[in-house]
Amino acid sequence: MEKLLQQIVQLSGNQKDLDKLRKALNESKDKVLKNFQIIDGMIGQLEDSKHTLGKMFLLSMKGQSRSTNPEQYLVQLERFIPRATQNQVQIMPEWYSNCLTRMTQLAFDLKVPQRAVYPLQKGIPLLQTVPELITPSHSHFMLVCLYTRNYRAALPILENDVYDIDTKKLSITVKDVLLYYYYGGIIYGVLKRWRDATDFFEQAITVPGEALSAIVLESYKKYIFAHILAFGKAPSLPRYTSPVVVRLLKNLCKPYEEFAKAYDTHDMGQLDMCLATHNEIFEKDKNIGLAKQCAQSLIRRGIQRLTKTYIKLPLEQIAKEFNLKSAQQAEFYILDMIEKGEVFAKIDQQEGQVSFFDDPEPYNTSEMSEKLISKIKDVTNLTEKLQTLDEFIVTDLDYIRKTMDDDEEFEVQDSIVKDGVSDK
Amino acid sequence: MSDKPQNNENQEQEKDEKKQKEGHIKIQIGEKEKEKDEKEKEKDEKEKQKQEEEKKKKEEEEKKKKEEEEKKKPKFIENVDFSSFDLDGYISNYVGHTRIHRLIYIAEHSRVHHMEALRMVLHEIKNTLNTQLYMDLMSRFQEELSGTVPFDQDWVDDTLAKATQEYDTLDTQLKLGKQNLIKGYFLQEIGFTKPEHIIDMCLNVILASIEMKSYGHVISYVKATQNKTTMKLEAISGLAKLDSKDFRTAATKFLHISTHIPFDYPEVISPQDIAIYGTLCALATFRRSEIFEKVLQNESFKNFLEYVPEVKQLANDFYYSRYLSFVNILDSLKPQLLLDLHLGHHVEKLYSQIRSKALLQYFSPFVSLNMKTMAKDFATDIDSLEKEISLLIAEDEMKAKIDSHNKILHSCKVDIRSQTFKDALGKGETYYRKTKSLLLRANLLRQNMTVRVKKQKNARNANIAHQMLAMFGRRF
Repeated sequence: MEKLLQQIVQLSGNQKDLDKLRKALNESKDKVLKNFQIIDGMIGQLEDSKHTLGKMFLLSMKGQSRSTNPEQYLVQLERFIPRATQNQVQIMPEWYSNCLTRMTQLAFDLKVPQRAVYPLQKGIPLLQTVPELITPSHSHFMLVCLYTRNYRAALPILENDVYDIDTKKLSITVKDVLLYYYYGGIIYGVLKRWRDATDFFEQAITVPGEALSAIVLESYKKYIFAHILAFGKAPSLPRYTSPVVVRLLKNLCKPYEEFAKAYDTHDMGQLDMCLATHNEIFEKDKNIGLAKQCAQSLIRRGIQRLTKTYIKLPLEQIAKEFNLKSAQQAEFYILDMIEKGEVFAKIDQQEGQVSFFDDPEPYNTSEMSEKLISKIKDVTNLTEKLQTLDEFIVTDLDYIRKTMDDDEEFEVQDSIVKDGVSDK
Repeated sequence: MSDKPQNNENQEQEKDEKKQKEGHIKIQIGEKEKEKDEKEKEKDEKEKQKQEEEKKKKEEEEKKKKEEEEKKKPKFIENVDFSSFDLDGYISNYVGHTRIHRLIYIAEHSRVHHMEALRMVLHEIKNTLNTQLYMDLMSRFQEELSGTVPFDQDWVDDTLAKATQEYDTLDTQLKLGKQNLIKGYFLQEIGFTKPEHIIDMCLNVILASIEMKSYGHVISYVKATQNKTTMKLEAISGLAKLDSKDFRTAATKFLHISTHIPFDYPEVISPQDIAIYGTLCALATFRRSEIFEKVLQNESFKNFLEYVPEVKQLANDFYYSRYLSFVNILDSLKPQLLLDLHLGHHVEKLYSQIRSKALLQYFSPFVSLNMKTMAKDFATDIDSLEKEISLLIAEDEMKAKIDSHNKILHSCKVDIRSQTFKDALGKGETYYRKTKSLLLRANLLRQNMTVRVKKQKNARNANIAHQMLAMFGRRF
């Protein structure tokens, strides 16, 4: 064990040494398992950033011992995780990932989940081989943020788009992915970013598959509400949703479907009735808050529609249109909406009239042109990613086999491709 | 962490299972008896289920019966005054089976003409061999008819006998005809009036003539088929398009019917019908210039329009923007159209489309206009006009905005530049989001990560995950 410690200290330098160290560490697994009692001593002698590879190995091995003191273990992990060096983490991401998972688990067990927020927020970027990689810690982090109501802390991770998966370097399951999008959707919902929430839930629903996961089911329920709140109308599932999933969802979520249908009629009375009939189910699913928000949004959406049609309108008429108690209430709604930038209007209280205007954005400011440029950049980058994927697919042996089955040139192509693929 | 509580529960459940297993051995003997009981119980339950199912079936059947009865009841159109409708004049335009169908349609929809139409149709049926329809109608409207129109058993018996006889003669003729090739075709076809059959017959004659190398025959039959039938076919395909609510194509078909040869097809459609159907469909779907070119300037169609001067007036009023007269004619035509076999179902839709087009056309030259005058010109009150217009704006048909306070309609200048920016940003955003999602899905598939049916062991985990999810669901 002394020798191992020496190796760690000596070989934590350049890439070549680190590779050697990785081999040495891998071979010493059994030895370490037998000598748990001295692990802590070794950990104490290593520096977090200088000896990241060795330290994360020891810390992840420590998790297999039953006799550790959880509080002490958590402190060790908590300190180490944010200070790790990325290039060493990348040599064996699995070990670092173990540390993150252990740490989160301990924080929950000791009922101090808030302590997991900071290390996860710092640790996830270190774990990502590319910024687009989705890791198992993503879903853990979202759960911790939800649990501790630290919604905004989730944003740096949440707003960094992930779509890459690499199971060779870092094992991850579909469940991790589904949970990330489900929890992430909920967090966006809490922050009232409905469009993003809709996207996240939709992502969970459209994960390919031939069975219905409970996570997908719950995602779909919230998806309906989020979509209504984001776009003012009921969603229709994307065409690429697995047909099995579509069928089961339609069968299992009838009250939700009915609610969406009632919303689309724009009739307050119908929506209220639907809400009353299914109140219990929404309550049980803990979606009643969302349903009520949707019901409220119906009036707002209606008023927004009016701005398309009218230049000037009496408040009385608005109140009548939406079953409001009085013109004052209509005024209250419109004032609130003006404040939030949902409508562009002015109220003439003396005459009891509202005047509506078009969106005053002239699209000729430098901010707008900057925004446009940055959006174009985003799209260009994404297109490059798409091209890489496309190249991967067209050079994929199975794909070529399938698409060129009857082609005479097949054999020639096959041999070329075999040569090309064997390099990988 | 999410995994931890699951493990705990798993262990606990395993313990429970062990305990149960130990218990099992002790009570095994008693259990056999239990099993018997259970089996009997199962039987009972199954029977109950069966009974319930049967009940359900019965209920469903009853429902269906009721629905059918509902269907049989006449669906009178209320709120429309049909007294101006001239039943005799209308029906005299037709011959054959269509008379019967049209009369039944009228009897079903107009309270005023209910009895008269029924009496006429029953009389009409007696000219045919259709005893089945006669009996159906008699039983369907038993209540209304009892006393006034007695059931004519003699006719039914006679006709049945006649029909059998005729069938026999036709049958022998058929056999004869088979021996006498060409003549046989004629004999066979005597009883049929449907155009498909006529064409079939003509084609068959042509075929036979070719085989006999009498080409003179061929040419004359080809001409006959072309001239008479293509026009009829136009009319029929127009009817079919009308039925599938493809009003534009329907209009084109009706407007294509040429009158070089006198159009005569009372078995299906009268010239009046063609004028009405063609004009209404055209008004609902054609541009103003098209209406001038294809309706008002159409030499053949003018001949049809002569049959129904009101409709000709209607098309002219629309083209020359005489809206008040236009609206009045529309209103006066309505009762008659509602009772038409082919048009009845589409009247409301056609009317609303025509009206929208008229409103759009009225507004097109204005930057702003007073809705009070507009309401007067369309013979309506200002509130319903406002509603109509607001619908048109909401559907993006009319580029305008309403000043409800001063009752003025303003045309809306769309800032194309801003709109383009807005659209471009929106489209870009959607593309970006969709592509990200696509990449994730593609990567999942690449790694062979999909949602699969879980094995028994994992099902429990899924259940726990479900509970956990429910726990954190309320975060809004």
